Amino acid sequence: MNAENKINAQAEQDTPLIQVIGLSKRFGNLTVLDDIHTEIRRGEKVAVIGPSGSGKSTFLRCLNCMEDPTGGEIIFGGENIADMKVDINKHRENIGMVFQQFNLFNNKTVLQNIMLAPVHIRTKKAGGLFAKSEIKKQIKKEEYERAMTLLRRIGLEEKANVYPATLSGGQKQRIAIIRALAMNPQVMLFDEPTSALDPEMVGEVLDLIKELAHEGMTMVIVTHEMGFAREVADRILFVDGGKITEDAPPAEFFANPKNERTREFLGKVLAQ
Amino acid sequence: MKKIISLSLLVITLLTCVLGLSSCGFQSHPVGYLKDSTGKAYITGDSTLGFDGYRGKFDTQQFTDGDSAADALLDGKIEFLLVDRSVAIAVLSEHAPLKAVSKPLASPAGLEELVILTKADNTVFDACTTEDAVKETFDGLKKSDFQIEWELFYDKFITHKGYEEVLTGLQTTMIIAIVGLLIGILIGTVIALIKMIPKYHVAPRILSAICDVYVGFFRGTPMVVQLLIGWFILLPALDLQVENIVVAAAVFGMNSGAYVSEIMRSGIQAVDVGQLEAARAVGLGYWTSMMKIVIPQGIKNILPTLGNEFIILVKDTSIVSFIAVVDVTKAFRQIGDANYSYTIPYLMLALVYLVIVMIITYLVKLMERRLAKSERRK
Repeated sequence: MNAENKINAQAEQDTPLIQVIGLSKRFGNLTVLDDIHTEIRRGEKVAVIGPSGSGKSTFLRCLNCMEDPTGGEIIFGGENIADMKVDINKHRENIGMVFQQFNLFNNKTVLQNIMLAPVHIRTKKAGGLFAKSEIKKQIKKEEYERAMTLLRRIGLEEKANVYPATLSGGQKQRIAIIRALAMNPQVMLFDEPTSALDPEMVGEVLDLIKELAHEGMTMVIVTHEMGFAREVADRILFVDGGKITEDAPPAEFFANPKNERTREFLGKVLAQ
Repeated sequence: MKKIISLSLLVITLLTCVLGLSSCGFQSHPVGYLKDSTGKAYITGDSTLGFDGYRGKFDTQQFTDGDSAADALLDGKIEFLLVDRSVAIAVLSEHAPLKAVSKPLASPAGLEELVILTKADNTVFDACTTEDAVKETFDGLKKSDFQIEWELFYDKFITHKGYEEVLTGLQTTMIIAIVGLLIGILIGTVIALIKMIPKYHVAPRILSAICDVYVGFFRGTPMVVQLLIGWFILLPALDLQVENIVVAAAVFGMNSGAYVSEIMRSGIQAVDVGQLEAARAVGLGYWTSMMKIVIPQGIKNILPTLGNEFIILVKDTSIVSFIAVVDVTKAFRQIGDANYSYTIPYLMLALVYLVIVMIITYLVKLMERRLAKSERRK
């Protein structure tokens, strides 16, 4: 790698993956997010916590424009994805999202759930309807292999041809996670991934997320699981009243919260 | 499912019993008369001579002379012979085993009395001692209205192959209904999707407004009027050479589309929004997400309602005769027109629609069950 490439590569490493500049979100008269500035760096694991209604989920959903920001910019992949004119689908291929309610496709089998997007998107890039059938077959074969590998990783390969309705919550969420992984994203967004799970299943899902974290996946996780946040996160963002009021590594955050509100929140939450 | 089968079997059994029982009352007492006689006028209900209408209520046979009539009476080809008094006397004198009923029937002024001749062993009128009694007994021999209706119906439906018209009409009805439903689902889905596009730009708003006008028209006018406008105004205006059945299917399709759009919209919106979000989050575009994930699930939601829509469509096709299409309704009306007998044709028509609707209901339930199975069992 010559000097120039090295410099470019280094520059790329240094640029934040996601830059959030002046992000605001209003629903009519209600301001949910108020002038948020932050950035997510490559390889960072950011936990977002806060009281109900603080806007933390809205913040996360703005990062891949599930919610359309009413103000500000979100720079990802060299573009401001908050701009309506930008093709958001292209960028969403590189941002994985995991929902609180799992949202597996009910009319597709587990395997189809995982393979659907990669096969469709790659086929479209290869020409869509006019792609050569050998290429289509090749794509399907590759994605099938990838999907089965991912399923084996979580030990659910025998559920490949099953419909989601018969699965437990923990199984659904883990499959939802590998569905997002099948697209090979640069960053994963988790919106309270364990909040809808029975306690016995929370562990298996958190374990999977921890594995991904150790492998170096950049992630932003909205969660109520303080122990998990402390263990996995590089940074904790505390969102309150539409603003980020704390931004610190876990040790500092839990030991010395700067704001009264944060201390109040932690007091209530950690007392359990 | 079992309910529908047993219900339809019950209906069919009941109707067969009704028919069977009523046909127990079917009777036939053929009456003979001479050509150009008062008797003829009487039995055929010639109102110019002031006779009560017995028209069509007896099987009758005309004879040229008393002898052939008498022979027929003796052979049992006719049961009664209705002749003028003088003819009766002549006949009785030459043919012994015949007798006259005790009292003759009075005729209007200037005409001879009518005598009823029977075989000697015929006891029908034996108990009659007065003219009124004879009249009453004779009246009781006539065919019931139901029998008359039935025989007229049978004549056209079976003897003159009316059932072929009915079968063709039935085919037409089903074709128009099915094609109409398919067009309706297509149009309805397109309208529902257009109305669901976020209205950020001008184009979706214009399209949505067009859809509103379309739906407003088809829901705001009677189907008959839509048919008439389509056939008598639009078709000549567009200068197309198209059969009226095609126009009917098109109009029904467009009308159905207006209603189906609401059904589709509610079915699609009933699909959890998380399904669409998950599809978009993984990089699929809006239309792809709708086509592959949301709409298939939406359709499953609305199948019973679509089945109802189909049933309504089948029944609504009964008005296509307004533009000269022969459907099953028109076919049965033509059957009725043939002999001016409408009771049985119209009852049968109702029965035909009932059976069609029952079959469709059963098929819809079957489909629902199969779709539910594919989601749950595996």
